Amino acid sequence: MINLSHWRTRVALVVLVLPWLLLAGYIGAQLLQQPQLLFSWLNYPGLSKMFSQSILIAVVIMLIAWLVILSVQPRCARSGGLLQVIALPHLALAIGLLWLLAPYGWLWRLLPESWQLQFFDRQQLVSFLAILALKEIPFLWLMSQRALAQMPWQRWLLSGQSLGYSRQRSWWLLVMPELLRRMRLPLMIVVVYALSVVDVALLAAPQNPAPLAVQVLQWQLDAEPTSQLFASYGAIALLVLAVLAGVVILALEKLTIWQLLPRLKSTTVRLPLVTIISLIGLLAAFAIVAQSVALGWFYPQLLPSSWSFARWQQELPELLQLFVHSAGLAMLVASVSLIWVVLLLEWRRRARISGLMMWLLLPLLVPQLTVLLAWQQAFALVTSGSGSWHYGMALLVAQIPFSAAYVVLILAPAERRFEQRYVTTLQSYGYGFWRSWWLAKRPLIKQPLLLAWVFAGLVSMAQYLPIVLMGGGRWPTLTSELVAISSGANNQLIAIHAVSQWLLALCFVLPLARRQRITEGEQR
Amino acid sequence: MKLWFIAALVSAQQVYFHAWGGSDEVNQYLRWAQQQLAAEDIQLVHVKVADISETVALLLRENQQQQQHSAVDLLWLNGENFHALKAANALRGELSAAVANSALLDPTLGWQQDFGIATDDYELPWGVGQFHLLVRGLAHTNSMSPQQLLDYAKSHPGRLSYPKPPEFHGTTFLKLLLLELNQHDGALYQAPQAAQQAQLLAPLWAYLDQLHPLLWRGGREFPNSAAQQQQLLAQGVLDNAVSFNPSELRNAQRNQRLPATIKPLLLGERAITNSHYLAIPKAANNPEAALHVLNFLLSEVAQQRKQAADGWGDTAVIRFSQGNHAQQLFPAQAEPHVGWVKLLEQQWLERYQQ
Repeated sequence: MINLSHWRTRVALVVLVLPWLLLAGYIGAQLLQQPQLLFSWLNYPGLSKMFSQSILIAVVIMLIAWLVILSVQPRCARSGGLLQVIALPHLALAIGLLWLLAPYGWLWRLLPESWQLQFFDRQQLVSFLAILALKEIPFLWLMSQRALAQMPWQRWLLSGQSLGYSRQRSWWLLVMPELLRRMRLPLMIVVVYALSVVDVALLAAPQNPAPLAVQVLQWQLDAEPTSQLFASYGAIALLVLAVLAGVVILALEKLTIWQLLPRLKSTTVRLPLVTIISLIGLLAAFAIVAQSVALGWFYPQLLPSSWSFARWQQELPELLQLFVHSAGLAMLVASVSLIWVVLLLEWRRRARISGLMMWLLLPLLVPQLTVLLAWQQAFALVTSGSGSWHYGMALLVAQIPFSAAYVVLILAPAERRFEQRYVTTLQSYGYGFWRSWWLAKRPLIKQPLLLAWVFAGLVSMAQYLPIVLMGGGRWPTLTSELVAISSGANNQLIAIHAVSQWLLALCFVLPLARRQRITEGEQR
Repeated sequence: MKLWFIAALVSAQQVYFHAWGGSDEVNQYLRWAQQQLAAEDIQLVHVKVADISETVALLLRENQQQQQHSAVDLLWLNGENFHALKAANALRGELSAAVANSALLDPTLGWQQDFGIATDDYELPWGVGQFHLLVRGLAHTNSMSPQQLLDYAKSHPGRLSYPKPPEFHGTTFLKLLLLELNQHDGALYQAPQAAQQAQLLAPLWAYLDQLHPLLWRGGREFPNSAAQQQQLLAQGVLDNAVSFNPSELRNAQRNQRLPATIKPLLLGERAITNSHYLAIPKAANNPEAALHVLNFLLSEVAQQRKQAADGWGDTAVIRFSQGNHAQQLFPAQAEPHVGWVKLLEQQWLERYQQ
């Protein structure tokens, strides 16, 4: 039971609950303004198509992700290529792929006219889905490998085989159900991301009408009070869709476990995903790098009129400063998020709280602009009229919920299965709790800790809105600069910033390139 | 790092200037201004935003909460964003009294109205924009009537487009067509009356119904912004783009972002002309320094540099003492009354976004 009298419990509760009270208050206040406008919202031109489009996107991505999980094989494949794709920012991947494959793009120019295909174009559902899938598959693959590492699947396969089942059938009956259960949250994250992504959707998804999330942002940025209200309705609708997606994911999981897996017998599902995706990711990265040094690259020329590093040199001092801001902020946010979640997880263990984890995942389910505007008032108490360091603190705090959600996603399952007796044994020798934690638990969950830290850093690095809204622009990063410059038409400059961001992210995922070992402490 | 920067960090007053960061030329110009102002102990910080509406949303929120100190000291805006901030009383007024160089402003440029709403000294003009098309391979002509545009689309199906309204370039495209197709009917410069609305809008919708199937992607998709359309023009997907900056084409060609075969072109005989502005939030944390920056940006040296052909090339808004007055590139076209804008945007969405 939660002991409310302890000050630590109270602090934790306030920090956990207050942000969502602020959000509820903000949305509630907007909804109460003019409830009769709900009908004009429902009649907004194209709204039904926005909904159907968003639902279609969520369903397709969900099915692709589900297939990917079914096709997971336990192996220590070289993951370098996939890590490269994980490091590649969504926007950079979209720009690179469209530049390669869309009509009049680079590969298009190479093909003879009769071969030229129109199926991959800008602002087209198919290409949007392809880009999303391409970016999410490596994430799912990595998370599946992590989940497998935490399961003694070899032992399960052996016991299955000793009962007379084939190896493949034992895999379907014994290992896959557990894997599906453990991949529930990553699957949810991928689907919610597909529902709520804006920057990639603006380039790659249909715009007339756009997916709901894009329209919500456009309403939010329209200063008219009616539009603000529409944005709140839209945000709530997105939230409802996300919850529905969660229900469907659960149903799909149960259906698969009860109906599909027992019938699969010795069928194998294999997709040559790792190779293909690594290759496409490399091509996209190559296209971006080429653009960053190209001058005058017009259709139908295969090569630009000249190559030049002059722009790189000119931007370098500014890029270095942005690099330091981005890296510093990402490391700080990742470290604080990690410590915060570790504290909460130990608290969960001690106080036996359930539901805490869903609470921490909430930031991934609500449109970010809504959340940030709701929090703005509280942050202004700190930043109002203060120096840059106050804004830096505010920025740090504002980013933590988004990074911490990924830490929870990666760390919580590993932690849940940890044998706490390792720690208690050490405590019985007279060590304090945290010292025992450090000596006994940390080494055994080192890999999930590292992975969680890396992802928290990557998430922090990708933030744009907190930089402008909470940071007041005091601490620009590579991403905030990339997003601002991407609103213009200067392809070379956009590419230079995208490549810089990619390089920084590569530095972050580098520690993961070492072979992932299975450690005993993760398994029960 | 440069010495001036370190010196600036120690003693200078910071001015956080929120401005669209998508244009390289503008960014470079602000870097120049930053260096000039550093000599006067002011550190100008260009906060680059993808859309100034983000800053406006922040300011409206700050204002609603009656916060004493804003994160923003100065911002670059016009049109609906200004209307919203003015209506919310979130801007500092009586700017011209506090900015000495406002006396230099050229009153004939029409900046007293911002997209049909009086500026009332809540913002000061920074530069002038003129709406025109950028087109490929039409060297023989400087302007095009709506009918000629339609003919071009018929002979080159799928090669033209315009940004999707309510994006303001797209809306301006509609405004121009509305004026041209109604022979500049005087009623368009007045608040729309219920009786005339349908009659004056009908030719526009009839025209677009003909034009859209001949546009890029059969008129079912439109570029999101002028910048995105410019990229499609550069990549050879489209034969046209739109622009509000008369120097944009020259800059883009100099930096090899657009091929040399692209030419500027007017839709109709004149260009819809309006200004872009600078404003200071009422709760600006550093209003004195912000005013100082505003004054500098309206000075002769700053306006001349802004207009220079090898830089941003944005038309000056002041009268220079040395005679070389800012030249207007295209004859100016007055805006239709602001009341028509809402009608255009709303009905366009109802008709074409399904």
